[in-house]
Amino acid sequence: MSIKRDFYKRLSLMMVVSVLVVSVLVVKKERDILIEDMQNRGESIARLLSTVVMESVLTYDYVTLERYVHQIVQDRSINSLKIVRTDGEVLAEAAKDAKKGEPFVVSYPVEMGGETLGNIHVSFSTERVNAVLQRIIISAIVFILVIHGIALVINNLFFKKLVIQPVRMLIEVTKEFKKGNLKNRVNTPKNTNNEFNQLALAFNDMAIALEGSFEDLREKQKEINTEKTKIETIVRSLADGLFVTNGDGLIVSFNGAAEFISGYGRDEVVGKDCEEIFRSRFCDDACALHNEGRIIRNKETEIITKDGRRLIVSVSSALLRDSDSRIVGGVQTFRDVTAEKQRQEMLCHAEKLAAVGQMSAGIAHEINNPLGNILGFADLLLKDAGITDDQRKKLKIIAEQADKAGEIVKGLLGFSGQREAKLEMASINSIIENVAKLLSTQAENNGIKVAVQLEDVPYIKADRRQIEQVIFNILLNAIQSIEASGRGGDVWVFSRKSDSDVEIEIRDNGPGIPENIKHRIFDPFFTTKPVGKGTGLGLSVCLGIVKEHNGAIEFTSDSEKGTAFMVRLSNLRNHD
Amino acid sequence: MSHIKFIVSIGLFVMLSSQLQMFSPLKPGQLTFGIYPYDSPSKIHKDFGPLIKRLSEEAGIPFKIVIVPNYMSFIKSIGEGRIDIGFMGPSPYVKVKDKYGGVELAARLLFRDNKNDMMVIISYTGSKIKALGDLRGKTFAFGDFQSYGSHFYPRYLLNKAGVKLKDLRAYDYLSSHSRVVLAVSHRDFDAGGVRMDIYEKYKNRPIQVIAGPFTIPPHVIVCRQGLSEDIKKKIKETLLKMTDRDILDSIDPDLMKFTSVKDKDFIDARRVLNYIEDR
Ligand SMILES: Nc1ncnc2c1ncn2[C@@H]1O[C@H](COP(=O)(O)OP(=O)(O)O)[C@@H](O)[C@H]1O
Ligand SMILES: [Mg+2]
Repeated sequence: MSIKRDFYKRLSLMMVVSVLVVSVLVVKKERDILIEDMQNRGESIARLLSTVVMESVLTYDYVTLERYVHQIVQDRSINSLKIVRTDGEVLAEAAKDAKKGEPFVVSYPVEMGGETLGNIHVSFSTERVNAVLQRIIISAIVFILVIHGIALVINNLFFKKLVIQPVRMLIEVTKEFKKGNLKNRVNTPKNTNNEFNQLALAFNDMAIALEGSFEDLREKQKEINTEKTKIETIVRSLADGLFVTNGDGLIVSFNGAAEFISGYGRDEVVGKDCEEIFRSRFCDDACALHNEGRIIRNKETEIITKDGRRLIVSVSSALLRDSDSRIVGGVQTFRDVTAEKQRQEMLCHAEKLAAVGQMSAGIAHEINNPLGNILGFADLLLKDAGITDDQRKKLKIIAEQADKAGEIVKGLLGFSGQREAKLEMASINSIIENVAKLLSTQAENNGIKVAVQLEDVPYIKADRRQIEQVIFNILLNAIQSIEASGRGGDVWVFSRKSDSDVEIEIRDNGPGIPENIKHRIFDPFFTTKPVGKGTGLGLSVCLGIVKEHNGAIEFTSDSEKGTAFMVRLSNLRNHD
Repeated sequence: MSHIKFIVSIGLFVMLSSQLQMFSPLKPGQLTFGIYPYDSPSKIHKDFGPLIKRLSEEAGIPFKIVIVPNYMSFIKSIGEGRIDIGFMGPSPYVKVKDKYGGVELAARLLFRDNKNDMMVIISYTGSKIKALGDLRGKTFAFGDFQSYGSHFYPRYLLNKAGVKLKDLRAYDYLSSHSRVVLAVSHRDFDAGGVRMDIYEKYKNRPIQVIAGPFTIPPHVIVCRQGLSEDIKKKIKETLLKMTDRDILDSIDPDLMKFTSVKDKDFIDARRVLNYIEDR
């Protein structure tokens, strides 16, 4: 509306000013023309009259003169006419009722033979001039009004059609756009090509582009949302704790596992510094922001839980960057490895003990025989009468001491647990299940699936604990091999019946055993694992136990398929 | 070429015929009404139009107005029968009657206060002339030589007062009463004689009466004696019976009526004329 009013205001002003200027000019010019016209007429009247005056003066015919004068004064524009002799005598005079407006007087001399007889004064009424000018002014005003009226009507139509309607339409469509209706378009008449139409076309182009972009945007948004949901689901279902910090190191996101591990609720930590929460060297050790430029992967450090427990965690972290590679925060995942750690330590210890025990057992076995011989021969000599009492006394000491050594060896065997196999009817399947259960946590933590497929196998005579140790060792090796590969994998444990034997197979799809070490893996203290992880005693102990049970142990391995260990135990053949 | 000649000859013919028509009473069945030039021809036509129309109707003959250039030609025209009916002052009448004889009086005009039957001698306002005798050595304006009121009678009065033409410093014939009044008022002349009604007309001008008023014979309407008795009778009767104010007013609002007139009413005038023309 305001553009329209503004437009009309300017238009009116322009018109009024221009018409006024033109009117003033015309009026001025017209006035000049009229005045000049009067001057001319006055002069021509006077010139004509001067002849009459001359003649009248010569013939004393003032009657004719007066008649002329009166007749001339009949003219509308002439106010009065006066003929004055040089001596001031008014020879003829005629005047109409004084009219309004300054009279305009033209004087003209009457001359004869170079002598002035008198003067003719013609007084014109400027009333007519004023009337004419008034008419011009009135005409101008009427003209302004009429043209203005017409222009107003025409302009209104044109303006409405050409400006207001397109603008309104643009506004309408823009409003619709604001509401999100990108389908709307501005109507563009075919036959015009003014700026508004061009604007409308441009607008429509923009709308199409915008709609396209918006569609893309929507698609992208959808994708992003899907991704977001995916990520959220992943993060939520992640077994590992995960939290995200912003650029200032303040926690912005904290998943369920993180809550579970730390004991803190999400609401308690969001917006807080992670150092404040974990109260440990966690951040210095593993947070992405604190370790810029360093790769943190499965780094072990510790946290203090809400209830004050100290936990060992394995942390991986990475910096978060925006599309311009500016650091906007860090993401940390952590896993509680406290139990695993403890178990590992325990396993290590157990293995060591077992090895020591085995060695001691071996030694004890070796010593037992000579000790038995010593004791036997000592007893034999004691039964011999031919020995002196002193000898008998000394022999008794030998026998006593050998007995004592036997007891020591027995004790040694007992300490190492490597006592003589306590054979009983044992279920291999239940042993496998127990062991698999024991290691399942570790396997799962490393993304390793342990599949147990058991056939109905007969009970066999065996030392339960020793068989347990064998399966434990082989299964642990399998898990560790996959763990070390870092690629994940599967482990299968089978029990099978073959003839009268029971066969246990433990197979993995890990990296396999390199060809050059295959012949050494059963050696005591041979290991490829880092200190603290492997002792190199596992397989040697296994071999010992299986042999003791009159069984056999075999393996196949290649880098493609992985490794499979087969333990065969006989049901019939008894130990000793 | 030939048609240019034709147009020229047509033009000449029209000019000549109109010229002829002006003086020719010969058009069959048409009477001429002559009027001496007391005013502009258009004014005369306007003044006398209604009366002549009435006369023409009564007489059953179309009339034509002829305005004569001066008193003398009027006398000649009516005397020689070129004008059938005429309106004139006393001196032309006496002249026609005495010189040609062929006229008959139809009626005289009777004005309110008899102003048409009187004349005065005037001077301009502020003039030192108080009596006719003072005019010796002064200038005097006459009207037409043949005018009774503006020439013969004023001259007669001057003579009686002992001022002869040769005693005047200058004099001139201005051909009409009005001109005399105005010339005097503009001090072109020291004095002049004019009919009373003319004086009345210009009374507000700077003029003053130094002698008079004097009675003079009336203006009359005359018929050519050669006209048929019937027409003469009809004209006379129409005039004498005229009461139509429109017709009378048209000539002069002060014209009361037409009355009968006799030649003996002009005895004094005849004497004055003879007296003047003897000198
Ligand atoms: N399933 C297996 N896959 C690959 N290598 C194995 C496997 N089992 C055993 N080994 C190799 O045999 C070595 C000896 O194993 P072991 O006697 O149990 O000692 P340790 O396990 O403590 O190293 C291991 O260090 C490893 O190199
Ligand atoms: Mg091992």
